[in-house]
Amino acid sequence: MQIDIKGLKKSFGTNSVLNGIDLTIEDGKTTVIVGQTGCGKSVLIKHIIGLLRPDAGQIIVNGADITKLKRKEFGGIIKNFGVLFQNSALFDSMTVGENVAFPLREHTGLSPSKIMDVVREKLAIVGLKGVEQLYPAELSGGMKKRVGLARAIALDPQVLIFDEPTTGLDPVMSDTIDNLILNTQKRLGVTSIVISHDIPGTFKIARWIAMLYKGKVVLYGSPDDFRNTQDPIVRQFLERRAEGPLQVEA
Amino acid sequence: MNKGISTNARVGIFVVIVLLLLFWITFKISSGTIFGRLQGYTLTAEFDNAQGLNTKTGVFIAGIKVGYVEDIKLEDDKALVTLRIMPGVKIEDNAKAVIRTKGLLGEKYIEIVPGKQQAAALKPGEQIIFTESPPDLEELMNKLNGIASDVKSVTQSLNDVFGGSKGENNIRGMFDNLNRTITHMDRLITSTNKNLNQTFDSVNTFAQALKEQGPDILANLAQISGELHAIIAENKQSVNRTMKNINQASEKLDKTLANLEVITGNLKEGKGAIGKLLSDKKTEQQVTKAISGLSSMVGGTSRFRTIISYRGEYQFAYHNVKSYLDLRLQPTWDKYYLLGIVDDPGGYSSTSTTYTTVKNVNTGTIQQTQTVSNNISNQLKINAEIAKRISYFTFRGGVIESSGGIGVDINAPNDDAQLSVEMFNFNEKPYPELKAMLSISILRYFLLSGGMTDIANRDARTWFMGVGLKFDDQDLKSIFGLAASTTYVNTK
Amino acid sequence: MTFRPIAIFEYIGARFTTLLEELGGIFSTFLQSAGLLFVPPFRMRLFLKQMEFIGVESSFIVLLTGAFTGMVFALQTSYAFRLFGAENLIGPSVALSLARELGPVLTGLMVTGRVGSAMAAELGTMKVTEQIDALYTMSINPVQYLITPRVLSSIIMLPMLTILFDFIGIIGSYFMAVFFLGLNGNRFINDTIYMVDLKDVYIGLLKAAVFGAIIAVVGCYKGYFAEKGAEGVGKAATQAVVISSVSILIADYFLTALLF
Repeated sequence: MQIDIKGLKKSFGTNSVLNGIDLTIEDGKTTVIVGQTGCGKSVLIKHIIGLLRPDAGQIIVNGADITKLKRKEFGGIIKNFGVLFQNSALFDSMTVGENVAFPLREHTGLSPSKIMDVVREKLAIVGLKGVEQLYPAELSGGMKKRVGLARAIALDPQVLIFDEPTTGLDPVMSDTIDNLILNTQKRLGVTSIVISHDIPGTFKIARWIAMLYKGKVVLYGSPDDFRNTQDPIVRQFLERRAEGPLQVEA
Repeated sequence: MNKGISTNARVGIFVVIVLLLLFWITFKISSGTIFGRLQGYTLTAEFDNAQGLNTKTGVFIAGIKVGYVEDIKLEDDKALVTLRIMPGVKIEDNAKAVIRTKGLLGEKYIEIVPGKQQAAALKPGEQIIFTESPPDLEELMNKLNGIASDVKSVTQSLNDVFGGSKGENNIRGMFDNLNRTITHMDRLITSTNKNLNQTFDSVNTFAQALKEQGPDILANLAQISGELHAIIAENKQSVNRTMKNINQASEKLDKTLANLEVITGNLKEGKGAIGKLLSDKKTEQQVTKAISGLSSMVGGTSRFRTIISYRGEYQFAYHNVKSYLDLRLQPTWDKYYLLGIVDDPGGYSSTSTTYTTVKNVNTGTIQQTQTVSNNISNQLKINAEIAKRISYFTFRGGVIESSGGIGVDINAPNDDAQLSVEMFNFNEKPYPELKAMLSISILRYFLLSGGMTDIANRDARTWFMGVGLKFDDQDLKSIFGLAASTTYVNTK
Repeated sequence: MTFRPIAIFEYIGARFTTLLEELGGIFSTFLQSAGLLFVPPFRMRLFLKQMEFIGVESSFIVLLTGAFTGMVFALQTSYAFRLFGAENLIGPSVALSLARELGPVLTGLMVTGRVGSAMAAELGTMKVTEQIDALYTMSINPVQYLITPRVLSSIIMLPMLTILFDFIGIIGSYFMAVFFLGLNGNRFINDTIYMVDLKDVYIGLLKAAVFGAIIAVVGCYKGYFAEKGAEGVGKAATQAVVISSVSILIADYFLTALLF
């Protein structure tokens, strides 16, 4: 499922966050969006999943501009999206099993036993077993991410969105999650959008990389394009330097 | 959640318990109803006044609750009350339904006073014929009505006396007499010394004694005459003159009374209060009863007072006496209404111009002469004022001497002296009539006054001196007593 | 800094605008949740769960406060009524006060403290940990899923809790009157039944239903729009309790004026 973003603009009050984003997410590939904190990555994602409406611009999925869709119609599109939130966003009041089963219960007519089979299968994909009866509070950060991923893929989505999947994890766990993203992508053949500022991870999983700066895409290309670019902004970001055109907002 | 009882069961148990409670409460409160069907039977009763009754007001027989008021409706200006009576309670057809008051807080209830035992029991839906409405307010209103009609008959009579030209003549006659009486009294006062006070006191005592203890009158008379003897012995010369004066005065008084009797002749037969006032003891009692009833009705702190006063003012510039008769109704100490009539000998002044045309025979010319004459004639005027007292100041306004006017009185601390300034008659003269007067009350019933009237109009102003009489309703009894005693002494 | 008189009005204007926004938000939350009640899917389980939370689990605290309110009220009124020798009015005045005012209002305030704050905290946490966003991305209307069951359950459960409160309160006052003040028990019951109308009870329950709506809507609104992490959640919970409590008292005034 290809996603075309055209001239997307969004501002909150006087604070202009997106200043005309033009970006194409290629079908069946992993696109990583990188950029400084506050550059508009999360806001861009929220537009794609319909949590925010743009001031101007379009997001075209399957030939339809989803920013113009009504809530009900949008509901049909969003079912094809699986989202792994930054903090996993597991429902605290439900067990792991119930969390993964939740979208299945809500949107499929499957029998409870059938649902349990699917839950076990999805948990196996993310490498978990026998944790169905645990509550999210009893899980580590990495395990939560996996459960979150299992829930995100429960309905076999065509698009997977990862919002900073490795933030807050130790390097080993980060790499494990990166592997998981790669494997899932390969196994399910989904279109993936990953928001990240973890540079090694980005180079590992990305087919395409887009860098946002001040609400615009400054560079879009393959990991090799990024390695070879002379753009000072991109270079500073990749080399993790405080000095340069990129400024940390006080 | 998995503690043996499921969410569903817990919510279910909770809801069932609560609904049972609600059902129980509903059932208890609407006691007498089972699933909306009412127990017992209904009777109706018609009351003149259902004030204080509510639905659910209890119905009692011998202090035991036997039902309650189910409905109150207005029917033909009466309150039709539907009573629900418990099953098994029999009420006879000659029973009486009475609205009574319970406790300090004035809660009302209906008491059924049972009728004779052998009488037939009322059937459901029938009416209790005999009822009695709350007595207290009703009674109060009746009393008030009685008093009001008493007062009305008095004022009606007054109206009959004073209304019309005949009435006016009567009053004028009365005033003349009163004037003369006052003049005599005046002389009497000036010609006597303090012995007179004693005499008056004695007369007062006598009058009261006469009124209160009819049989003891003679004894008192003896005492008085003894005292008079003593006075005479002490002060023979002046007492002689005094006695003569008193004689003259009482003669005048007699004439006045006779005149008043003539007035009463105009009254309706036997109905006029004033007619009876002077001859009929019963009327006197009625009037005093009405007045004392009124004052006691209004109650202690704000006693209703009625003050009647007469005043004669001698105007030095015109050599005539202007007379005032005022009735002052004082519902509270700080407020009164004043109604009065004023007999003003110089009250009406008119200017007439006469043209006389004379034909001179000799010259053949026509000569016109003009004569202007100023006529001053007697006029009866009306006072009707409202007054409001604030501390030592009384502000009043309304009709003063048949014209709009305002005035202010400043009272001495014990109200014995009063300085008044009033302004009225804004139209006729260049300046409104301005009157300033100082009046002092002496010996309780007498008034001495003096001042200047029509101050603003240079050629009309005059000094005046006046005397007067003043009685309030409390004095009325002793006044009547005095009148009676005077008559008594004279006939004797 | 120079003093600008206009700043006072700017401040007042800003506060007023905020107040209106808040009221509008609360009201639209109520309308949305009410409207979504009639749109499938119907999740019976969620309603039951909220009923358990709001009703069953509040019953103990309501019974406790109700019993003591009734007892204290009987004790206090007895002092006054004894002066007039009108002890027969103790039962009716306790029962009337409970049915008309104290039952609904105190139940409302107790439930606000327990449930309103919990709702705000729960929804606030869900909001800041993106659980609400997650619901949304699973194509589930968060208002329908989270707020509608809470509001409906609260509207149903508050009158039920009020019945409990009224009942236990009258029992408490009876206990006090008969065992401590030495009144005749039968007389107490009869006087009470005689003076209290069904209307008093039912209007009290209607009030309670309104309070239930206020508690749930305010709690959910505050939680649903919580911001800035854990601190924001705490603030939402506090504000929910304050706003609901004040609203209940204000609404009580108007309902009393309108209904009685």
